[in-house]
Amino acid sequence: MNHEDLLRETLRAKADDAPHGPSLDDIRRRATRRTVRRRVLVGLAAAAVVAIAVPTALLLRPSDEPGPAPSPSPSPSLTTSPSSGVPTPTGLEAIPRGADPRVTYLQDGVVHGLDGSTSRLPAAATDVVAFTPYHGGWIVLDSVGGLTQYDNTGTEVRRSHDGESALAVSPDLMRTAFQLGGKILVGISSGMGEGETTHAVDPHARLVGFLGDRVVYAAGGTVRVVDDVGKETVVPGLSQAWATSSDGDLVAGSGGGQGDSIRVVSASTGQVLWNKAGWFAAAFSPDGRYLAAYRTATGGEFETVAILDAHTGAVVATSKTPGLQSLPSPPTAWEAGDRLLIPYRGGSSWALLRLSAGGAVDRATGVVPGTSETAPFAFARQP
Amino acid sequence: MAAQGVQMRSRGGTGADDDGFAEWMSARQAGLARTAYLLTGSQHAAEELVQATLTKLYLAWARIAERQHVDAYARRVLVNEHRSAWRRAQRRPEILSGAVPESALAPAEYDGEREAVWRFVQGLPPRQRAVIVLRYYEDLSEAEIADLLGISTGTVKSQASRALAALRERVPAREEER
Repeated sequence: MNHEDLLRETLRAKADDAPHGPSLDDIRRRATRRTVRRRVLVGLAAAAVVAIAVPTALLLRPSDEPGPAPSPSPSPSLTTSPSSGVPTPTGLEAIPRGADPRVTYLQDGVVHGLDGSTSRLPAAATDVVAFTPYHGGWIVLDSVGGLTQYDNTGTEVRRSHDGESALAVSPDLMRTAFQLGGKILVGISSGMGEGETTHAVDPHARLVGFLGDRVVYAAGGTVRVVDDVGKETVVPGLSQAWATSSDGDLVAGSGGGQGDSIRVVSASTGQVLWNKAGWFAAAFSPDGRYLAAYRTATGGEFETVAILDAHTGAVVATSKTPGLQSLPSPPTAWEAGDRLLIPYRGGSSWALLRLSAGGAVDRATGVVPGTSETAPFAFARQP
Repeated sequence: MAAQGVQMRSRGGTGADDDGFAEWMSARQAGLARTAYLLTGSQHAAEELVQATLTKLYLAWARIAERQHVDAYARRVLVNEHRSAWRRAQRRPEILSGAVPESALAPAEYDGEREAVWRFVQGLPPRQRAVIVLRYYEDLSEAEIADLLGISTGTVKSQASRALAALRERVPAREEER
């Protein structure tokens, strides 16, 4: 028996352990609750729905509360065409066009550089969510966590074979860290392979980012910092981590099993600066003043994206996006200063939107078609 | 993602035609539960997933005009619900500490081998696990899986290939032992 047959046999056998399903009465009761909830939300969202038609569709709120929730967009699974109730591309096109992205980003396989130059990722690199130049070639991360390194001819050098890999660059952009299986490798980004160091970690560890010269990873319910010589220290108060600040001090994660909350800790003092329930951390701004964060409402059916004060957790600006969706963990990028780029989907179209800490919103790209839930944009990995 | 192959009637269904839904649910619920269990690896999560799926179908029932496609539609709803659930949960610590068997397992008895494969499947990242379940339990084509999961067929192939390669490393091949 080959391994494919072994998989089939195992899955068929294990399927017999499935639970008994609910009764029809259970379904009726749940459907009633859902219908009531939806009606309430629709009522609350009336004003927000009107806002879809105008350029100010993204409601920016300086307060700490995101405000009433707009109606969740109709479930994609209940539509037969983009026009059958889901937001139309008009929602994205109505947002004023601003400057092109001031970061290195990928669109349709073409890498757009900061200086306006363009280059291409290797043709084999598909479903890309992050990338970075490395040793004259590229390291590419795909949407399911697979990592592949290509040389300057586009030939695959190495790749991950299981698990979910990760990729990080140092604040000075000189060094790149990446994860392959139970190892974190750190190399000089522009080098040719010399001086690459390897640090063995738990196979389930997850690389988070650089904290100054050191590398942060999470494993086994702890967050650890490892230096150049392999010495490890634990960041107190965190069981998971998601972002590190370029100033080398702050780590945003969560603690106490509360995955859907943010806890920001100063690594230098061990002090917990703030906690915020119901939010997910994304990335610190380049100057360390802000933290991009996401809030999922009504079961992930739409998202609120916010810029938080990195040192207090206060909401500085919030984009509520009635009719538009970002992904629960979308790739984001900070432009210099306080401007956040976020891929958004409206129906079957996508665009990069720019949210600034001052509250302004514009569109950084044209509106492009896309049917997949994977954004047609990706950003070069940032510190 | 659009529900291909299912034509909807007007919006606003409230679960009318209970008899038709009850009949369909009675016939298909167990199958949905089996797939849900394989996707989630947890009886509790599978129950929740099946409830969420059936509730959506119940609410949409009056709008589903082509009943011959309802099974495929139900599978799509199930996969969508599962995807939403693991995306919401992907930042929870317990997901990341899942036990992927990392070292080759010792030769085992038949049930031990099956358990080793099951633990391996449960340790896969959620989307890769979905690819494996849809491919090797539901017997869907790569194109059908790609459509369901919103990824390319190339990604489906690479995910399945990676999983098989890892499985071969970690679970001794039975044909070599017997």
